[in-house]
Amino acid sequence: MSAKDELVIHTRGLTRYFGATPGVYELNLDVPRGGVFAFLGRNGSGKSTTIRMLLGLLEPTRGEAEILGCNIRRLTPEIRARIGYLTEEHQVYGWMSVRQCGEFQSQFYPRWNDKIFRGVIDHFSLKPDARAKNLSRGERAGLCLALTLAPDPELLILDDPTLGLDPVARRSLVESMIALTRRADRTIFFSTHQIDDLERVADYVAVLDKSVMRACCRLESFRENIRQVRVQFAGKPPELPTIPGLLQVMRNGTSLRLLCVRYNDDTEHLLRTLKPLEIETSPVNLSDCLVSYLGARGEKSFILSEMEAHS
Amino acid sequence: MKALIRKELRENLKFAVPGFLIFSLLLYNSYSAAESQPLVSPRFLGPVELVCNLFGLILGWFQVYPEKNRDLWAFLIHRPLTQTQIFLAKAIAGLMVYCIAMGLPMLALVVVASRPGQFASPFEWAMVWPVGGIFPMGAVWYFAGLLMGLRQARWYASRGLILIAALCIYMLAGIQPAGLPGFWQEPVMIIAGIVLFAAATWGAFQSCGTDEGQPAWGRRAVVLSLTVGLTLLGLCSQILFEVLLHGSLRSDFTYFQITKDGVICKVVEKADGSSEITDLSGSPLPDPNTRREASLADFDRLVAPGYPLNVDFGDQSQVRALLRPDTRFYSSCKTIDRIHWYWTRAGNLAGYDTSTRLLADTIKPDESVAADDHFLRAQMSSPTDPENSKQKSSVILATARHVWEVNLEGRKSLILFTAPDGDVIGGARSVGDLGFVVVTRNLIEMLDMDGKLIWKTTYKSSNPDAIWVRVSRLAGAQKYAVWLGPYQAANRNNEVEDRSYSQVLFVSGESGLISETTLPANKRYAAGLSFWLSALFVPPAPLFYFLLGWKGASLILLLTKISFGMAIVCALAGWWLGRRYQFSKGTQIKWAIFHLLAGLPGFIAFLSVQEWPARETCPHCKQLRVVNRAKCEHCGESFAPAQKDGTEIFEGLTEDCPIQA
Repeated sequence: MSAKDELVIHTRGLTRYFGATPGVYELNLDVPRGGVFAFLGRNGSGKSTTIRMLLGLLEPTRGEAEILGCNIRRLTPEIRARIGYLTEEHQVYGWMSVRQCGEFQSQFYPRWNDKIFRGVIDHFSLKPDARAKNLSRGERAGLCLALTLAPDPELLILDDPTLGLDPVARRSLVESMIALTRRADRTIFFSTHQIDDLERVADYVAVLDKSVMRACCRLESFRENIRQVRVQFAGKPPELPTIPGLLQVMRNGTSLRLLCVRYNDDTEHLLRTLKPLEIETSPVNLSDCLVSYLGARGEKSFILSEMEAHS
Repeated sequence: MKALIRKELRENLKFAVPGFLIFSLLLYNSYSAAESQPLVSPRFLGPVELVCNLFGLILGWFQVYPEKNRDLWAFLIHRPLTQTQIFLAKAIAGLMVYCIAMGLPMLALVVVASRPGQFASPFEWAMVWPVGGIFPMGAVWYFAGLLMGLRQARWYASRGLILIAALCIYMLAGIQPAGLPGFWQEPVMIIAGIVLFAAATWGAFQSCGTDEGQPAWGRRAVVLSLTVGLTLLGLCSQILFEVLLHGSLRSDFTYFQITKDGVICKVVEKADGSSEITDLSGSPLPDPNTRREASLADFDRLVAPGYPLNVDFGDQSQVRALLRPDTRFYSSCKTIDRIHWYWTRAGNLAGYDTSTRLLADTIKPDESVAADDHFLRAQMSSPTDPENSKQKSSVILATARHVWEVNLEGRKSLILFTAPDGDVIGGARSVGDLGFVVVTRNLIEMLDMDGKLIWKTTYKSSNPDAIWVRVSRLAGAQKYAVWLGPYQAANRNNEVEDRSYSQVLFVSGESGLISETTLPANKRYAAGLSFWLSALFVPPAPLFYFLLGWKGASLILLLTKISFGMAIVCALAGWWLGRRYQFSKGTQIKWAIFHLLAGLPGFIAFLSVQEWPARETCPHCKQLRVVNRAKCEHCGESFAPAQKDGTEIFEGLTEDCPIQA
């Protein structure tokens, strides 16, 4: 099996413009088979646009992409049958009952597994005769998840599945996803800006920032690559020079707390030129890593900038 | 696919039920109010047409628009079916709902109307044709509704244009241009409309309603639909220009009349409501009582009573072409003793009992005299004819060789006139109670009701197939004016001059033909600025068609020149845009040909559906390049990857997979 066969999603230069503004720019993404791939980014960063392009729901402006080895411009019904897609608004036909939804979907999928459907329905405590339009948002998310999982898809694409859900419903959804990942050769590709549950679920992470991909790696690598640096000065900290990989800087009295990508000797040498009393590095928890990575990029966080402006 | 059809049926039956009830109620109302056959009555067909088309449009729109919510649409599309199958499932279900709501009540009415005793008028299965045309026309509107709901475009622009395109097809199905027999016109246009909108909808399904990514045939259908809509809009622009330039839509209307004294007058009813009545020398006509210039109201009192007659020496097709759906099948004659008599297109008179509504009797030409002969269309006295109100039990009818007086009480036919050998009758009609006039190829004769000649005259027909004839009764004993004119088929070739009547013969019982006057041509249409402006919006292609069919059509030729000039400008502009946005040579040539045929409407449609990608400065050659090409069209450089800010974390996720650049 070649490396390309190992990929369930493979894009090269995938780009989508909305007018003159790029929604997704030159995306080169490889999603390996098996495991959970988290696709992160702030609102409007291009996550949903990417997913809609991958599923043939939106025409790319340029670039190429394959999903399960099939060109996204020519997705066949057979390929679609192998992909489960859960949308962020959890839309189903409101007039159908939970049971009718299952019966309706089951007629399209040859590998429909009613046990999975019933299992997820029970997990979310859904009444089979309840109309979909009368379900709460969390319940509807459960129904949609059941409809997405029951065809036993090889690749599950979830577009911000926990959006708008309460913590209990979100936990239920995440647990169901974990249950699926225990099955061999199943891949989950999900976009989110909820980072709380990421550590429990994701194996890989890709980060989109303003339509450009900034990171694509294993979750551990992501965490390892970001370091917190505390720089202690004798008095008021001086202006920082341009530091490569600097994500965030916060001032606390006479010390600065920096979050840097790939902190190395060069970075330390640069900081030493400021004549600090002490430089101390420490790992960062994933949540802080992601917040800093998704936040405003630059030498200082926007919070600090504002505080300094007022002082 | 069956599951999807069932789902669509379940979702859209809510439209079928009220549609079915409203339509059934309408049909029942028409049925109970109708005195004659409703299937061919314009009073019935008009509302039926409106309801069918409106229902089709609403059904199509509602079938797709509520589902266009982004995520619900994804839920529909992302399943193991092709987009074509999803489109077919929707279309099949939609058409089934349409058939249930509109077809079943219509079918019921046809069955009821076909049964004897329902309506006191003739029925034949061909009368189902008008309804048979209305029903599938609803499918055209249905697909237009689907397309309108599906397109991701502005309501006031290329989305709303679909509605106008459907209206245009609907109008084309009803209009009968030169050379196209009415029978074929409607089915051809309906099928063309269904194919056009269905193909465009199918294309829109493939690309989730956007123009980009559509298959070629779908895109072509969308372009054509928009061009059709824009053409109608362009033609309507003349009305707008007319109102803007002249403040009114009315134009002068000119015609000829004759007074009881035998003075031929030219009457001009002007756009501002005033009128001008002059004799042929151009002098104003004085009112004989007041000696002042006669007004239109005064003039009406002076006009001699006229008896128009449509004369057709062939298969009566030219007369038929002028008629409404009902009068194509039968003409109402008279009611005598509770029996209502109709002339039927089979060439006989059919009498229906008005109380039982059953066929009472049929009268044919006397078979012992004229076997297999049939009556030509009955041409009754005009409603303005004062003699019309008199109750007479006989009617004057003609066959190809004879004129008959048909006694409806005794149900017998009596020959009043026989054409000379080698001659053929084109039409006959009564002239009040004074007698009847008969027109053969060589002669026009007037006889009294005993068949005694009052006058006759030879004439030279300006059209061998059919002519207009009008007999005006003048003051004085047995003095008449006979108006002659080429029939519509000959007259329509001249779009500038109107020659409804070109000649007037003055005849009397004593001396036959007294004199004859040739009438000047009336100016039919004065092409003004609004005409020239609207000519810019007309595609050259249909004008080429008219130009081939019409002889000596100077106005059409001029119109074609203006339209084609505009088309050349559009083709050049399209070529320039094609170069700017890097179309292939083949695509540019195809568009140029299209622009030459479709003119300005085609060009606007091209602008609407074509992808117009953003252009950015190439960092390598510094020229503007389109963003939808992988490489710069000027220097061949690829797009630069996104600028790095030093925070990138990339890692090869699988073996041999290159780490991100």
